[in-house]
Amino acid sequence: MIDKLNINLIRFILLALIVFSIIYGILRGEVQIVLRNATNICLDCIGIG
Amino acid sequence: MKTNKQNTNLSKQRKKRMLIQAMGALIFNGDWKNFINGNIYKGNLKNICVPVLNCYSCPGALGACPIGSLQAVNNSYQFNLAFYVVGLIALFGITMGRWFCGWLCPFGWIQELLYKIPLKKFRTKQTIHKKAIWLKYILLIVFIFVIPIFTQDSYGMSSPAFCKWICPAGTLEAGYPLMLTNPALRQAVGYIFGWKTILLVITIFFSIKIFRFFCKYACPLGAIYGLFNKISFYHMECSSDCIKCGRCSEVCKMQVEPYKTPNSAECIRCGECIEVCPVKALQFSFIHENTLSKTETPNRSNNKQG
Ligand code: SF4
Ligand code: SF4
Ligand code: SF4
Repeated sequence: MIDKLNINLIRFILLALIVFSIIYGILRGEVQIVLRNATNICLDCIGIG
Repeated sequence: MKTNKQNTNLSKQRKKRMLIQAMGALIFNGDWKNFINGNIYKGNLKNICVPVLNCYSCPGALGACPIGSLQAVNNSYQFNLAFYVVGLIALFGITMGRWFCGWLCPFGWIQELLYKIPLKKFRTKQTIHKKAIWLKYILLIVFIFVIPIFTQDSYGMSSPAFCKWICPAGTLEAGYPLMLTNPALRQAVGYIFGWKTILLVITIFFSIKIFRFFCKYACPLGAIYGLFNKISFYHMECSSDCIKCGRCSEVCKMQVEPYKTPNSAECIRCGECIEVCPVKALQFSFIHENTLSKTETPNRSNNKQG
């Protein structure tokens, strides 16, 4: 039962997975795609895409 | 009847939050000169996603929109899942949950300003509201994950369907400011812009009538943060001092019943319920109690979703 689980433990395990996910994403080059999309006017966002 | 002290505290809390929301909007969109020259900020800060729905094509935007970035990476030819962006959204979610919605999101703030327009207000019937809140999860799944899979081209790329067909924040924060200041973009306007303008007008109209209409029923980022509200470090607790008077539920414009579900997915952590509780039974906390049962309601028979 989730009620019985230690919620703080769940939080810290999730936090560790999250940090791992961010580092993995950075290492495989996802940040460049974020930067490329964010620094060019997104025609889809503004409604002419 | 609320006491004068509770009224004063509530109004102080509202002013404090308005001020922080205004500062958030100004800081997240701090490259102000672009609002005049019709361009966007192109610096390295845009490597990082902001924790709120703020269009990265807004002329002043200093960071990347998490929902736009999620689609950009998922729909790129290199990757199918954005570990970096998902990780960042989850990091924001697990630390503060929907606190970002209540205190920092510019589009949430704009909706609150619209709600201040003195026209007759409307509180969605609770039975309809409890069904309608699921719409944002449907939009999240369909527009951010499903449609891109079925519309991929031969390179495995697809358009960001939520940005393209739905997002009123993009139309308001990026579409109109750029159209007004950039003649080349004005030339390219077509039927999609018309469709998105209709959605924006609907959003504005209902935001005047219903508190945070888009946040309650349509925002995919609010939907994700809402899931984290249950387990985020920053959370609300209701102590056994609660006398179940229901004042917290009355004051909550997100239609939560905080004494029953203090960590409802709909709570934007505005803190207004805390200010009106006559016995100070509600409080925010980071790490306090040790089990889920203790962080929920003192009377578990009342524990319905708010
Ligand atoms: S629900 Fe979406 S638009 Fe509303 S405040 Fe949260 S992130 Fe912003
Ligand atoms: S938490 Fe406070 S305001 Fe809400 S029902 Fe309990 S006593 Fe009343
Ligand atoms: S439950 Fe309280 S903190 Fe949450 S949205 Fe409602 S009034 Fe604000």
